Amino acid sequence: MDQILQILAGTSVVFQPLSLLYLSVGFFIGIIFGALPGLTSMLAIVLLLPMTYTMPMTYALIMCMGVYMAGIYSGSITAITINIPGAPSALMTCVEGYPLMQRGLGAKAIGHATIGSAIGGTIGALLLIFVSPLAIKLALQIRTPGKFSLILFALIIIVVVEKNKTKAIISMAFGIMLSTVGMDPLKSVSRFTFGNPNLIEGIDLTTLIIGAFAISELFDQSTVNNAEYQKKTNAASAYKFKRRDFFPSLAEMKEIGAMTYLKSSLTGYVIGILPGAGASMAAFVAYVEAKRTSKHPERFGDGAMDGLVAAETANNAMCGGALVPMLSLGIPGDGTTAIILGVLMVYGVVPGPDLLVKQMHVMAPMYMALLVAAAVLMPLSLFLFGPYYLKIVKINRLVLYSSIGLIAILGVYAATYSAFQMAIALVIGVIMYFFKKQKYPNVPFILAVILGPLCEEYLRTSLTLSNGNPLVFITNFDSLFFLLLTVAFAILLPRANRRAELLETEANCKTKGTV
Amino acid sequence: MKTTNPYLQSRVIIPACMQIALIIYVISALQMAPPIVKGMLSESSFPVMIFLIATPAAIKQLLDGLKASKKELAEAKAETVTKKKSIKPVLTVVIMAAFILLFPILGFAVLAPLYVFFFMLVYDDKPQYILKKIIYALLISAVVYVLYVIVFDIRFPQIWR
Repeated sequence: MDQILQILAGTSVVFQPLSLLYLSVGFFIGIIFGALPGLTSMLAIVLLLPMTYTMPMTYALIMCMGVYMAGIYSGSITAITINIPGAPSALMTCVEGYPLMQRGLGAKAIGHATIGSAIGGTIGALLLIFVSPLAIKLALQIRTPGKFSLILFALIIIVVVEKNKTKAIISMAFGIMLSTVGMDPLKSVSRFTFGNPNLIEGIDLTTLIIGAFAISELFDQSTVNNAEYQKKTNAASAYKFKRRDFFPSLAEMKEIGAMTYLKSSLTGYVIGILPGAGASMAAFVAYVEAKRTSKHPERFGDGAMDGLVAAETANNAMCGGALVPMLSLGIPGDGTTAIILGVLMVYGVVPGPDLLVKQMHVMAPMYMALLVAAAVLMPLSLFLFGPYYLKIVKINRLVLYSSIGLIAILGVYAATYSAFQMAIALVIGVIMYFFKKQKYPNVPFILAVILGPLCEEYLRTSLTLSNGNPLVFITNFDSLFFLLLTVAFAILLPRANRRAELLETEANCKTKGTV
Repeated sequence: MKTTNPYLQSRVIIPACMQIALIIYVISALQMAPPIVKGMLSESSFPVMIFLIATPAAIKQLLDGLKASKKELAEAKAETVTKKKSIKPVLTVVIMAAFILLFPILGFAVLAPLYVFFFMLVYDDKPQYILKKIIYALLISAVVYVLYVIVFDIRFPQIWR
């Protein structure tokens, strides 16, 4: 109860003018990055990471929440208008949204997506607020062997949820290899420096994150044909919608049904809790469930509003879910929360079960910021700026990417004051570009970078405390629980995944066929 | 259009390089200490574990890549025809590398506008609207300067400093 009150006390901080400014700035950055194909909310937070060094942690987190919530939501704008998902989580929105656009119902589809996202985001944030204290209580029971098993659980689940597991293992191994460069966590010995004094302190987290996510993306985007891109985006910006066109009627919402909103929110939230599952899986599962229970399943694939709403509601509810393991256990639920965890680490905060106990006063506004972003900013921004959303894609690509290029590379310098670290970011960017081209997933990489050192520390500490007896991981109840959970999820998740993959393939075929 | 050997493609090169990196990684780890010293895990134990977990994955991926290349080779009857590859990612790398190399010497004021200008040039389909690009480059550099130096108080190297 105390913790809930502390979280609610964070409201006063969020409603301070400066906090609202940071939240709004973050929200609009998220809208822009989410709406533009190729850019994601994760990339937005990556670019903000070096800037957070000089601002108070509370403001940095408030801004991140704005980016996170808006970035997931705004992927639906281009998904509906030009059939290109602005964010990967908006793929199912493409399937239903674009046919609606072709029928002249684009504004209404965006309106439904916004309302669904706002409801999902709000329920997700509320659940986060009320579940967190319970999660903290449980998390505090976890001892060192349990912490190792928990991280092992997260690392294994991240691999299991990926389509190509061997690629996920390679990506993860690469992340761990880079994170082990520098000082050993338990002894004063440097590792893998190859005689280079610049490597003694290791590779900075900002360097790794910017290299892997921003610089690699810049290489990828350089191959996009500018004229073709403009042709597609011109089509979207040619539409003219009025404010009233966006707002769905109550009758339409009734037809979709309160259960669709509620069920999709819960689905998104629960999937968010799973490490590595992310917004795309949340949207898929909610979409499938909506189709299964719909009165008109035959409409799915041809502009079913309930399918669109289910996907959008779930992917925003996922935000609250993904923050539960991150805040209570130090395990990020998806790539974006991994970067947010990186923001915390920039401030010297060690992720783990006692994070919220020690830092609740700093973290509380973050919960409320997520809630405000979903419940207030989303509908308000649609009302105020809805007609301009379609113009986002008109932003000059050359200006945008050259700005990102400069901010990214200078961001590494700002974080490290080292040209050597800038060079490392470039090398990592090149490697991750090739990884991306060959469809090596990047979420296992970033989670491994963050969790790898902790995994090693807890493993070695547990074995040191038990005089090298590996049975310590079985004799401790919390550790045994996570090991059994790992086994259960390793068996069950691939089955659920197969179904989602099938659906994704169908959706991909459909979107490619209509672009 | 004829291209390079189909076996020299990313799907083969990535796992092969990863395997080489893993071998170097584990050798370096074992040079530090054996994985277990007096019954306790040493600083090399975790890297050895990573090697043991990632090696089968890298080998499997390498074999899959070779198999796919072999199939492609058989289907294309000895020579593979592929799409023309864009040189733009390479140019982007060159621009960034030059920026990193010269940044400590020439500083922000000189390099940032040049970097942005060349970046826009590479990103565009053809060299056009040069004057517009120069103006944009100066404006972007100014905005980024204000953001980092004035708002966030970060000190960049300058040619006069």
